[in-house]
Amino acid sequence: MSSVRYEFPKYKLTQQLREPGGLAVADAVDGAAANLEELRPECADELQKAVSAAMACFQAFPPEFDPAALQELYAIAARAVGIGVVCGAPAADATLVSLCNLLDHLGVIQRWDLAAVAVHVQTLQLLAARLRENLEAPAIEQVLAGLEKVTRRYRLEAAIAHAASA
Amino acid sequence: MALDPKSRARFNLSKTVVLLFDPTPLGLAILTQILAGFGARKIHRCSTIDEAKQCVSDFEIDLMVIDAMAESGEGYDFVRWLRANVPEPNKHTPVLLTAAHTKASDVANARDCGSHFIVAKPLAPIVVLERIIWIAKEGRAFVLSDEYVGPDRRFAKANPEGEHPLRRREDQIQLQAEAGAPGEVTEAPAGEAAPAGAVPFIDRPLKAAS
Repeated sequence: MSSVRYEFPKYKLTQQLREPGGLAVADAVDGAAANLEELRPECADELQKAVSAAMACFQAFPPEFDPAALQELYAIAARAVGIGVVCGAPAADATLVSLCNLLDHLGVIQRWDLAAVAVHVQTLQLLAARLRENLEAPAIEQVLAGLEKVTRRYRLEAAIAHAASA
Repeated sequence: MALDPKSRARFNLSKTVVLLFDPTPLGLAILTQILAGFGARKIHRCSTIDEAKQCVSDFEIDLMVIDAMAESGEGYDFVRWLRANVPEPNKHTPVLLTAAHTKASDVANARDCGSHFIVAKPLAPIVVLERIIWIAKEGRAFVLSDEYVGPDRRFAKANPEGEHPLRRREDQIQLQAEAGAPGEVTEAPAGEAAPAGAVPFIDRPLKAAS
């Protein structure tokens, strides 16, 4: 028979947050944003590297379903999420998350869709190449909506397959 | 009401010992810049799970921000190890997990590993701050059972609310900057005068989890 116990720990963090002094929320958020701004050039470089790595990985994809290749691209995409927003390309983050979703779905149903992966990688290339230009927001929204549509195609099938295997 | 990024309400992380873990140098740098912007001064930066484990063994940590490591899920395993194997007080330390993506096969792992909250990347400083303030609130039970060790996952109107998707509407973090505004005020302890112009940190205690 399993037992369950409950504890109510006192967190030091709770008292620390309330101590006099500290920062106003507005100043803290501004301070964090200013600190992140220092990372902008580094993030732009890293995004370019991630996009190049994603393209190289995709170009080496075998014609048949290969879980190792899929996992490799997934790792490249997942590690790069969060960089785009710092270097002024939040759409790159959205594209990377969409690519992660797509690859996860394809992994679950064990199927290849090279065209769907290609459109994500090419979008990343476009966003990284145009980092210094201001792409129009409606155009970006349209592109992201298109990617979402591509990924959504496999969502239900993957959910059913995952539930069946669980 | 979500935490207003223009709020003048104050909080203090200057004495908080923070452990940050992210396997990528830039991910770790982003976390560090955010926490440093919030006024945290005692930050342990770890880029491997082994470093994080060593840090937990060597120091008393007040807050952990741990990357889940989407591709391998090792961040979830670290939190599970923390809850199951580490003595108090670090066993109970509030843990904020960050996740670039959660695989379908990892959803249960994410739910059951024993973290206090999961924040999706990309990280917005205001969201990170909101979650830190929320997980610091007392009143949430810590469950110890054969299958699960960690904060109670059932909520009674205790989730943060805001404009962020999937946040429960009825739940509240109240931070009010205006003097005289309704709400419960946490006064500075007797003998500790708040600095001139300081606005007290105002919140409302959580209801105990059901």
